[in-house]
Amino acid sequence: MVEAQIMEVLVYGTIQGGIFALLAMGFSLVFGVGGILNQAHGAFYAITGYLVFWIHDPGSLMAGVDSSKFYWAMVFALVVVTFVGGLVYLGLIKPVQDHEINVVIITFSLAFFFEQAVIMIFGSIGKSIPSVPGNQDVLGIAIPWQHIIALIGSLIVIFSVILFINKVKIGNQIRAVSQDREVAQLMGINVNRVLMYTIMLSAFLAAIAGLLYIPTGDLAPHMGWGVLTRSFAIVVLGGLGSIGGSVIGSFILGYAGNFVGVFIGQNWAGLVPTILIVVMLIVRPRGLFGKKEVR
Amino acid sequence: MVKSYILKKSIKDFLERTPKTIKYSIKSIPTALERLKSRVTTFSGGLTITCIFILFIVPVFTNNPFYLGIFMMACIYSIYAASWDFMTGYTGLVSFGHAIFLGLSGYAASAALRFMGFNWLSALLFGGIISVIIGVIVALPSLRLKGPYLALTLLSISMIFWSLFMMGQLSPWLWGSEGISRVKPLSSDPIIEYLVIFIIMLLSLGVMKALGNAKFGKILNSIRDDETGAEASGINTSKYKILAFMISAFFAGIAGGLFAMHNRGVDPGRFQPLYSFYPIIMVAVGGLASISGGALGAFIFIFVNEVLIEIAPWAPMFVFSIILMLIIRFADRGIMKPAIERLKDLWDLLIGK
Repeated sequence: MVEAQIMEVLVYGTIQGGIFALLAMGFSLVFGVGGILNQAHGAFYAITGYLVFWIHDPGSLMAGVDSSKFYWAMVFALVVVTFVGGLVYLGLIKPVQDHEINVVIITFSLAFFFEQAVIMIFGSIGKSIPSVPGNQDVLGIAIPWQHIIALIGSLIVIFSVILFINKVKIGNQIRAVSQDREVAQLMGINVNRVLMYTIMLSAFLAAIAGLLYIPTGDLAPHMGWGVLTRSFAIVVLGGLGSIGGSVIGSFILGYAGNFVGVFIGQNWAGLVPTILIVVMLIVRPRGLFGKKEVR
Repeated sequence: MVKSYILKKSIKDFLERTPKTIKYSIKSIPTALERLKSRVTTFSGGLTITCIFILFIVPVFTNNPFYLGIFMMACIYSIYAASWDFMTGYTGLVSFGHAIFLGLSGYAASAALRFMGFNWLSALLFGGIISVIIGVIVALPSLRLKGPYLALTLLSISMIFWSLFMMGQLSPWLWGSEGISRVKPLSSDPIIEYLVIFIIMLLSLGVMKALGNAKFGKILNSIRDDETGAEASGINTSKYKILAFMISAFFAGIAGGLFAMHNRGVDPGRFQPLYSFYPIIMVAVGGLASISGGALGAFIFIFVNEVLIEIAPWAPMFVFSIILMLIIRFADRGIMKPAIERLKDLWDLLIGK
């Protein structure tokens, strides 16, 4: 019995860790490059789900489509959210980016804007989007296919992002700006454009996380806040601005959350991120792998 | 600024002389009154007095509980917004989790009224004290944080309270997702209730304004503007930050207690980010780092909110989030301060100055 529970913690912890890693990587990248804590990060995750729901919902523009078109709906949501990220940077963050408090307040109200828009259009009752049917036995536990796809998809995306950051020119520019903004500017890098690409990348990652993971559960307007808290917890845990740290932190949070959920109670799992934040801030404020202190 | 300094000095002079001799004090009353008069005849002083007077005579025009309720909510939110402003505008500690204090003190005051047989004043103070204690507990780990990190940490802590109070397993102690209902109101007569809330608002705003203008407030401002510099000039920044946390938490707690009594109860929804968002938009409307700005912003917010609820019940928060984005994007001084300055220019023109 206990073995089965431990296996459950391991399996679901890995799956959630992968999803958290997608979310936290984007959050951490934007912080590392621009010093921006994007409060609307969770909102990007939530609106992806609602875009898919909107397209798939009976009575909307793509009602009753067959499943091959449903994947096009996902691609559409992905593209829209990515461009919304770019627009948010150009229209809202860029003009005020010299005052970090204004950036925080403006993205905070943006998160509210998305939440309220979603409540206005779809109502505050939870919805759901279709998932891949069927279960698969892994290590003695029946796991829904959607979870397996979420894990595989997130691992693929994590590795491609790490490759992207290290090998592609834009990725190198992102790294350069995050290491030293002024020198990067002197080397002829357009810092603002790099920041825009970073925010688009982070919105893209949040959208992928939404596409992979929202089908496993509910879709509710306020879910963005939980995502934001978790991303922040992971980034504090792994060290601000450290990609590797945030990936490892995500898996730690995934296992810790599932451990608490299985052995103590599902309700308590939601408290793990915040307790982690507070404990980390007291014990080791620069995170496990961080170079900079959280200040 | 200079004029308020003169007023304060006159009051201070007045208070210092009183114990010495009655004679001197009687002599000084006319000068103090003179100074008060000169203060009142300035534009901003006159405007303040007019606003206070209008608010004071509101019950003359209506005793409809609904309309008075709107004014009560506006007064309560004024205290709340001003307490947020005291922490963020004066001290530079950005809080996205002020709902912690609003909710906890609401719970404390409601529990005191419903289960412990307190009267309303002691329940209110009890809520404030609980809120101060939580303020200190929250302040200690967040002292080394600045700006956005502090904001996000407080937001997460408010989320913790939200889920703790929602939790079914804890419902024997924390009353579950239903919260506490059927709390005794402050008074059965809405006019008395309004006046009490109004006077508490005046007291709270006055105390916060006085603290903000005194040396204490200047120290807080120096921490906001240059923490290293403040520390280098011998200010114990940790102590003052905790004090700012405590004062802000106390007044937010008063607001929370009044809110709970006015609504006849609390529920865990009081901890949601929405209630942390309210003071931000109120202060953004009224202007940062001025207690009266936040209070004015609260009144505007509540009235606009009521109008919006009448014409488009789904829209208020949607509209307000857009307004807040526009304010931060285009006018980060707030919109009330420039508007009042324009009004003053117009006034000067009219009286031919």
